[in-house]
Amino acid sequence: MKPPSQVNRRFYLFFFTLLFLVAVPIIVPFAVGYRLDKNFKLVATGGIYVNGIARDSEVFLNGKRVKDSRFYDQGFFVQNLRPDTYFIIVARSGTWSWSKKLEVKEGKVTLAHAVQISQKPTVREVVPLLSAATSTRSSEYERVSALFNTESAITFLRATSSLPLGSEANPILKRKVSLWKKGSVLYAGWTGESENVPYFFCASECSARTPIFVRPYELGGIDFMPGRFDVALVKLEDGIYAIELDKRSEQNTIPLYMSATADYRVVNGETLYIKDGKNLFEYVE
Amino acid sequence: MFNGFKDTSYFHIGSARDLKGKDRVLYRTLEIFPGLLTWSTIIGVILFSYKAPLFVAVFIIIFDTYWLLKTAYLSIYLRQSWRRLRYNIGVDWTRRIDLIKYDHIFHLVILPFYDEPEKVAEESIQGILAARWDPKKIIIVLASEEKAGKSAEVTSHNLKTRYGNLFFDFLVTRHPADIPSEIAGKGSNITYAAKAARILLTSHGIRPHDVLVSAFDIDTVPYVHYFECLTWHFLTHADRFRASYQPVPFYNNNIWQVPAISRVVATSGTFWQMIQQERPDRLATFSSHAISMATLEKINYWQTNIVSEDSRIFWNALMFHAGNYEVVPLSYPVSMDANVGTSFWQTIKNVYKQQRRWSWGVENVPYAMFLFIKSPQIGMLKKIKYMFALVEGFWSLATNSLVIFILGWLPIIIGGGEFHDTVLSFNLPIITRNLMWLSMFGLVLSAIISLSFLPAAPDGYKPRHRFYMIIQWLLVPLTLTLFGAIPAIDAQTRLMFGKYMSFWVTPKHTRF
Repeated sequence: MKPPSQVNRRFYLFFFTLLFLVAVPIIVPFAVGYRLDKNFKLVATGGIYVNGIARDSEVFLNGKRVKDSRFYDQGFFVQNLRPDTYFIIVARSGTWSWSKKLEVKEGKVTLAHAVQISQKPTVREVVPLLSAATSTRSSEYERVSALFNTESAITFLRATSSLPLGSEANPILKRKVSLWKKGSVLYAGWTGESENVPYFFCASECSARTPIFVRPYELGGIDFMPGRFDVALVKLEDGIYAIELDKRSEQNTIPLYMSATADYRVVNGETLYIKDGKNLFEYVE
Repeated sequence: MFNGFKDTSYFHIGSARDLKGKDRVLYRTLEIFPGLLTWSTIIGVILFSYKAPLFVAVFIIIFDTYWLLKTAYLSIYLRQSWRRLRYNIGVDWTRRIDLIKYDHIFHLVILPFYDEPEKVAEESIQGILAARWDPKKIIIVLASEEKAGKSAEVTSHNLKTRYGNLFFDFLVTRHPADIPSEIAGKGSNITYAAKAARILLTSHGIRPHDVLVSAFDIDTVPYVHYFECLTWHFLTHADRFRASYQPVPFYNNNIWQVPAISRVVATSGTFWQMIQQERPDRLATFSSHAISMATLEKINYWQTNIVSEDSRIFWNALMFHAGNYEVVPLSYPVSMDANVGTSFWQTIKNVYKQQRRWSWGVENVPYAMFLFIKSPQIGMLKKIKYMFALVEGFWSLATNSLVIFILGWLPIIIGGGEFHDTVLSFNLPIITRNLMWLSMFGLVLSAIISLSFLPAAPDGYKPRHRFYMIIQWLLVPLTLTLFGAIPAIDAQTRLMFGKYMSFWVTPKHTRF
């Protein structure tokens, strides 16, 4: 046996070079977003990426269920979309469905972050006594109940300013997104560099300061939803609501905990405590 | 005497330090070139990932495609080499060689050593004795180092006492320490030994044309038909004195005893040599190799002032013969030790140092380029072909795995908001992942081939150990980067800054 002949070797080289020359003009435009339409015409497409979706959710695009093309954990990526406006619904048993109208542009991926909130919230009661037999009081209860000794959701945090937190002069800040209320209007703003403004401040054009939510009466306590900087929590007359800041189409306003007597506090931007009557709860899901 | 180029003073250049004036500047520039190319690629990818992420993302996708097709392309050669190796291992070389006149051929085997245990050398000698070739037609040269002290002397004495009278002759040489103009290492040792052996041949009246020199490592154990296979290839070659003869290095001596990392790195080296055996015009000598004593004498033996004498001897011979020299692939194995240390971390260090020493073969780039410039007798096309293969090889070794496994993600990490919103940004990891998955088929082939050449497991080894020999190939992305790219960059950077490496002796003492 001998090594392959020069002819064979040239053939291998030629074959793989040809394969490379054929593959690259297919793979690169595909990666950039170009697709062949029904008439074999090259058209530019875009995509939608929705973050924050639980694994067992269903996604509908313009009324049609989209086959799961999950990309990262908790993210949903669909591409090959012609430039247009798409209505996307994320549904999941036991949670409020989330919907959004999103515009898709050539070669671009439109980003969104779904808000999935349970219709029946799971809470953990913070009990005053660790043990009924010994009457030992729970330090967690003491700590959490102290949070609610202040007037509202925002005032317990006023450590650094004499101005009420959540006012225009002293907004609540999270990852450079500011949140404040003025009477019956909830506002959000971007305090970072203008070139880094998040997508949810960009409807027809980007705005670093925008009214988010209006009610005919003064709003209750405001804060960011735990784990999010694009969703606000607002206490209204019948309960606590999650309101997304994304105004690219009608915002999702989702009931989080329904009770006229409920109030809430967010600790360290991550833990949500609810006081309903005399009972204290930690919001789980 | 030297017919490759006019000025023979260039022939054994070790580094730019050996030259003066414009030649020195030119050689130094050529030394900088491989490192500069590698660093330009790395810095370019990092810089442009920030400045022009779209451009880099497209480059990465094209590069991934190239890498996948290159993997498939090379795997064809690997598979062919596998077939040929198995065929050659099965051939009855005794019968084949009986068809030609060969009884005038002597084999001279040089076994250089430093302070390796006696048992390592003994196993090699026993392997030579067990091979099918009349030991009375074999001359052993046990090449020791004066620097190694008394222990090396004792080893030499013991081995000569035990085995001396079984061979035609058994020469023990002691390479003097601290010879000016030499660097301590294998090259200077085996050159000293070969020159001493040349005198011995004269005293026996043996023509150098009838002597094939096998420059082994101390742990090299030839397979049973090695000498017959080598002789047959030598005698049937149309221009036998214008060729070196290259066996395939297996690292089977201790393959069951070494950690998976070491096995994968060693076997990957074997695979690369197997691939090169199918592309003889890209094959250079490596590690254990053979050459006619007549040729060796003509080109003034191995260089004594460099680290990578094993590959340099090919370039020396190529230049000497004005480009008309080749390496004949034997497609027949010799077995050596895979690298191992006293602990896992010591093994990692040893593997790294060995890979860096092999990567130091990049010192052949300035040598070959410089001598090509000085050698008008060699055709331009041939020069370009050789240089492309050499430079592309070292550049690929240093950059490919880094670009694919690490730098390829940079546009996503530092590409900025504008790029993050593009379809390309989302497709980059998907396409890269899919292309990588496809290239994993190459690993399956690697696992199959490596299993087929595995020696029988020593007593006490269970089926699960064989299973480890399969799944170890998942370490390839890691070994390609840590023991391929990084030591290659290390070596190229040292050459770039003129920090010339010295010879590092691979420890062989821990397999017992």
